[in-house]
Amino acid sequence: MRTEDILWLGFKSLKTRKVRGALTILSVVIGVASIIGLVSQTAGIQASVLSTLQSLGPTTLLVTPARTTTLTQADIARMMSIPGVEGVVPVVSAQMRLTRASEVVQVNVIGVDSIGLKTLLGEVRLLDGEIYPPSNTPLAIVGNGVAFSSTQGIQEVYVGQPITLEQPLGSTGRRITLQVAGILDKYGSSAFLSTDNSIFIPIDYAMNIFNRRAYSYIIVKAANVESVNTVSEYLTTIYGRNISIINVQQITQAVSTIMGFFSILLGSVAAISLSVAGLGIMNIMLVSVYERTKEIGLLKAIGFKDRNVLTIFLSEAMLVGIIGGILGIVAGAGASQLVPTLIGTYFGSSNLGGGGGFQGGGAGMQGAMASFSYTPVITLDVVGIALITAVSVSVLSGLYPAWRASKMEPIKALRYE
Amino acid sequence: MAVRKDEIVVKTDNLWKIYRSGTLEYPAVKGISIEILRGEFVAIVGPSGSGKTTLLNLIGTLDSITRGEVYLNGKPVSKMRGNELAKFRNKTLGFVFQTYNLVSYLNVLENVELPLIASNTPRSIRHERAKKVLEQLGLGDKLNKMPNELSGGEQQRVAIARALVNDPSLILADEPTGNLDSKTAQVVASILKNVCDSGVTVIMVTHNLEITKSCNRIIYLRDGVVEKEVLQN
Repeated sequence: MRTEDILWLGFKSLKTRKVRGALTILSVVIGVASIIGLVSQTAGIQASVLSTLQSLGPTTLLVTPARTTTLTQADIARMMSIPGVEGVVPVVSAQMRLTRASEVVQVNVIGVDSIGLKTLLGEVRLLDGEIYPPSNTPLAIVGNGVAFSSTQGIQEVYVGQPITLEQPLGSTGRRITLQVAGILDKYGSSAFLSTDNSIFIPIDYAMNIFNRRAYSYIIVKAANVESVNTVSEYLTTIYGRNISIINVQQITQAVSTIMGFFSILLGSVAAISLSVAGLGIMNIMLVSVYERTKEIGLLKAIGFKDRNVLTIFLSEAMLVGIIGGILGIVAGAGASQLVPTLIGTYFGSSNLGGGGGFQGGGAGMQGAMASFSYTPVITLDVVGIALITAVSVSVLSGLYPAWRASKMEPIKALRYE
Repeated sequence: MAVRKDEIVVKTDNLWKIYRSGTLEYPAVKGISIEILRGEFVAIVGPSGSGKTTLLNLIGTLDSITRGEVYLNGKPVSKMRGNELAKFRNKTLGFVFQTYNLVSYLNVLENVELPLIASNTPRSIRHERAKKVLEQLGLGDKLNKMPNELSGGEQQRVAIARALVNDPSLILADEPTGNLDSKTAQVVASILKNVCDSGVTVIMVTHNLEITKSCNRIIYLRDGVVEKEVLQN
């Protein structure tokens, strides 16, 4: 029997039982959409985190104070004297409230000098205006999410415009006014640096208005990749456990490994829903075999071989897998784009701040989810695996019912009422 | 090709079929030996439980033989299995059932094409052959109709077309008029008679003595044995 005829008969039968067929296909759609949706989220998060880390460069070390230690001007000089260190960028940051045209938003104010800004962002891409000069002036470069309203994308902050920032409630209640020198292009943000929701100001000015003598963290640039470990060892020797050192190379590997595990974990959870769909397919097909017993008897009486009957039923299951798989990929791709938006909405679109800088100890994450954004990544590998899994699960689920159909004795099948 | 009317198409030799349930045995066919020639139109009649349908199923290779043998075109069928049997049925036999057994999701033309699909006939050829047979049976205007859009008589004619499309040497019809009114039953009987005239052997199980008038021979069964045979012109 020709393959095209087998597929044609399978399709005809599937088409006849529209509601049942649609529900069976829907179960596969949900399974495949879950795989695509969940795996694309972890891949997107991984890409976002790695991109931020990579933008800092493989020669970057982040030094944050631990315990009661403070990092001051003296530490800058001390770190500069370490062999293999090319540059040191101190950073200070704080949470403040900004009153925009229509709403009050929380932003992260990061004090960094104009040269350090390049180190921090990798590349300074300005939408408008220019970088502030290396002086103690009340000038600011605002992130894209600060200048534009998140809900409608309307520009609410312009170059040359004065903006007023206030310390959040519970702090000293200080108010400062800055003039906008530049507006950054959209960077996207990560768990480590929420560029879009930050305001960058000259570090000396930041130290003054925040009334700080110590830095929040220091970025140490090694001369080359080979000297990163040596610099790290020097820093440990000098400061012991009073500082935390984040080596970008190491953390990149760690993030890749962790996200890889997450991807497998979430993919497995989604695969379980596909297995449940498989049980549904088996159930529906068993019912179909019983209902079509007479038809099976007829086919065998007029010369269809056992394997012809087997393949007709298997083709039906395979078509469920293929159609469900393709629709599931489309649905999963659509749904995966909605997830980051939903996360943003859930955590509050007006709360822009919170993810700024590498403040605090350890990894320096602070309220990261509040401003964390990423683009889900759907790779051809994942699409291929999801489709193959859907078809395999469907065919395997259809195997037993199809086998039962193929083994029916024609005389018994024809007598079946 | 000239039709040799003396050629034996069906021969049963001391044919037995015994159904078993636990230790109990129910013999349905008890040592029947008959010969049926090419182009014969044979009716098998008898009361319920006389073994008519069982005999037909044994001749049609649908049921297993307990003892004895069935020869179709001189070939013993009891040893045939699996693919060989399926191919043999496809090439040699055509079935017509009381309940028509049309596939509900296929249209008239597609239903008739089924035996040709099983025999790997290319699409264009099978379309032509199925269409030709349907036209011969007066169904040329119903090719794209679904079975549920047809009357009982039309459905049975589609079933006959399906049985004929592979040019079989033997048609086995089990109560082909059982679900039809008397007028339509006569139409179906005359179609089967015409089929015989073209050289195809037809064996028909029936309760309807009226339609046996067009048969060449009537075999009366009772309790699994041939009670008598009557030859007609």
